[in-house]
Amino acid sequence: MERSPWDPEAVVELALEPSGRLSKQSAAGGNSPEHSLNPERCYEVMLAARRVDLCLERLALPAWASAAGEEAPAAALGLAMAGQLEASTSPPTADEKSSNPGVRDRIFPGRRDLALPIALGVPLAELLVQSAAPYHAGAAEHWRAFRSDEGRSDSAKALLAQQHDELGLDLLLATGDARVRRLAAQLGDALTPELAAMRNGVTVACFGEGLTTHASFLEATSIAVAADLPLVFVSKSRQWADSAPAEAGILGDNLADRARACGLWTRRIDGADCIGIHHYLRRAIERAREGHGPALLDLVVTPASLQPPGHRDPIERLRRHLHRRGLWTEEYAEQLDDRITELLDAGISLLSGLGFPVPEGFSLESNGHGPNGPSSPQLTLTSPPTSNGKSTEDGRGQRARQRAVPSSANAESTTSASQTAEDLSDARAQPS
Amino acid sequence: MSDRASTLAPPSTSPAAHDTSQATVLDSLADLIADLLRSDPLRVLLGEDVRDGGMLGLSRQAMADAALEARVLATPLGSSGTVLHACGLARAGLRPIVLLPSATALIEALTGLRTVGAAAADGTDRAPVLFVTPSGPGFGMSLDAGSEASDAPETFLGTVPGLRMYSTGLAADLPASLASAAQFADHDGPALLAMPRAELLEGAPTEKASPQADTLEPVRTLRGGSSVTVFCWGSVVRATLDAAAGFDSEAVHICELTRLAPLDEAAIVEAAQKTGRIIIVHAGPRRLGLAPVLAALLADEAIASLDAPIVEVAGRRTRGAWDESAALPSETAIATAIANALNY
Repeated sequence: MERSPWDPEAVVELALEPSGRLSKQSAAGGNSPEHSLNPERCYEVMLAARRVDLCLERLALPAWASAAGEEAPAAALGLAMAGQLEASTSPPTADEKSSNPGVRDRIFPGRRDLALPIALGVPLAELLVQSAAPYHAGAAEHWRAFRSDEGRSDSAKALLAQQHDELGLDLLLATGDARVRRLAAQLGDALTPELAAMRNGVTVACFGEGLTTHASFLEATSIAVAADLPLVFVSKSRQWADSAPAEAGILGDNLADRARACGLWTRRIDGADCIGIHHYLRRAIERAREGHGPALLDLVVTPASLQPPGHRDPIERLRRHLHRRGLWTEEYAEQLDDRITELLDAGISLLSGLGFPVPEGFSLESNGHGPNGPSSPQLTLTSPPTSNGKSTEDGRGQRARQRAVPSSANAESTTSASQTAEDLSDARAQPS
Repeated sequence: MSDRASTLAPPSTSPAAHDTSQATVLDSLADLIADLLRSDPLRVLLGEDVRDGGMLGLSRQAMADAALEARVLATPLGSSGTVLHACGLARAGLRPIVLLPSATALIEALTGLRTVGAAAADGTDRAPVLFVTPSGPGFGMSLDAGSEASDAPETFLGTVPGLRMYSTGLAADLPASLASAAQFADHDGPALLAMPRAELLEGAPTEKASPQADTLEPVRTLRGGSSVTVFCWGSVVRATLDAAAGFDSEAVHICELTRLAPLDEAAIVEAAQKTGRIIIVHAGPRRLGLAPVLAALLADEAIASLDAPIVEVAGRRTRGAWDESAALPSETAIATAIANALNY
């Protein structure tokens, strides 16, 4: 785990190091932990989310703000919960046969958590339509029909709660959802079979750290602790609250410490480390499921717009890991990119068919020829550099970055590329 | 406004509390709340101090029943948090009843409540949650005396899509009103019952109501007459009846609006057309609110039947606990309006 000034963790059990090497430390007297995250699947989900993010920016949606660089929390959560769903649905217990076991868990997504529905099986085309739905009647109608389709079987339908714009509303709705699970555990068969089946369920609420300066956060954590709810708070932290100085957001310490003082089980984790996030998410979810109460994960992410070093990008970090294990090749990357482009193409066609005004000159290519031009900072990390420093899009994204950023940042990018090459050389010497 | 309720009286604990003929309104409401929980396993009771008797002792009968106690859920002080927490319970499948000390909690949660209500109104999500709150002056304390939110909550909460709003003005009708408000259809949105503080503390004997009852008429005729129609609701109903007592028994037609949303527009128009002279009496200042909505409705639907301008009789913004009774229009003001309408 990368050190940070506010990192409170003395022992990190499982982490993906900046080089892509997996490090493990056993707790006192315990065995070394193993992770159950499928890294290739996670890589694909994060990359698809990054491409959707870029696509939405080029569609010029009125209120879209890129979350490039912040994909790991949502991807890890989606894959962790998808695994839980599979475990809970096969086979159903006798009590669950008459009910929908899918309601056992519920996720309240944060804003721009694109990787979450992707990990849970929502088609990329439908995700584009969902994102456009607030601004276009045809998209809204299509999304509403898709969401309410009784024949739909993807995990997202069962797991994802409807998202709202009102600040803090979803956090408080999540406390209500979790309290029903707590009551189901207490009252069991005194409730309806459908509600009784929620007794082993967990609620997960995702949000950005900015919300922690809002009253709803204090109210939600207070209720969660007071009622000992099976509720996992997942905070995506940029280490400052939006539109506020760092001191306002973190109040002189960090969110994990503050939440721990409230009585919550907490962990502060590198938000670029999808394996570490997945590990601690599963722990938080399992302990909540076993009746040990609420938890909070404080995930420190770095937006791609800040032009961070390559290892702060979760996609690049995981790519290095896959490369170490021989699972990432340029051929694989090209095939994956083509597949995602094909799926997004279908989404753009769907949107056009619904009457959505796709901007003139819109392009899915990562070459800077979209409506935002080559200066779009998100282009820089759209495709991770390869071991020889060449982008997976024939170097065009890399060249766009060179054009887009000031000379000092270019120097940092060059350094980053050099680090990448060194790391990979190191990987060849010491495969994990 | 009489001095019938100048203190926050403790709830009745008399042995006669369960004797129907002797029960006060608080006794009847506490019994009914327990019965509501017994009759539906999906109902839960929420509030800051509900596990300790709750607002005015309304949860004490539920807490006295070991079979119900687990469904009495204390919530922290944060009032908007309690409101939206309850909405989350409702969306997940329960039917919460929330006891609030004042309607201001709902105002604090207004943006979230509007979203939850809209989803229920659209049929995209359910929210069968009932909020029960006192309104108007009567506690003689500075809690939120003089607050428009407390005196006339409909002024603000009328903007919540899908919200059913009940406001019963007489103590004897409060149990029936609570029973009606607690009934939810499959996709019903949230509901609110505002109860006049002064009536809650009256202590008059009140009959119990069945937890299944949904018998309350949205527009109730309290007094029949043929010359002037007075619409009133909530804390001003008692004062309106008293003001009308000095007029000819055949002259004044008094209609209580017991359901403020959705309005029973047909019944309101019909009552207006009976006399052609309209007076609207309500608590709180004369600003926005339900009165102009009613006036516009009648201008639109009954203009040909009107023989006089529509008159609004309101209270005023108050300045503190010592001034709280000014939130209601005086009996004199109401009587003057009636006399003017009769002589127009």
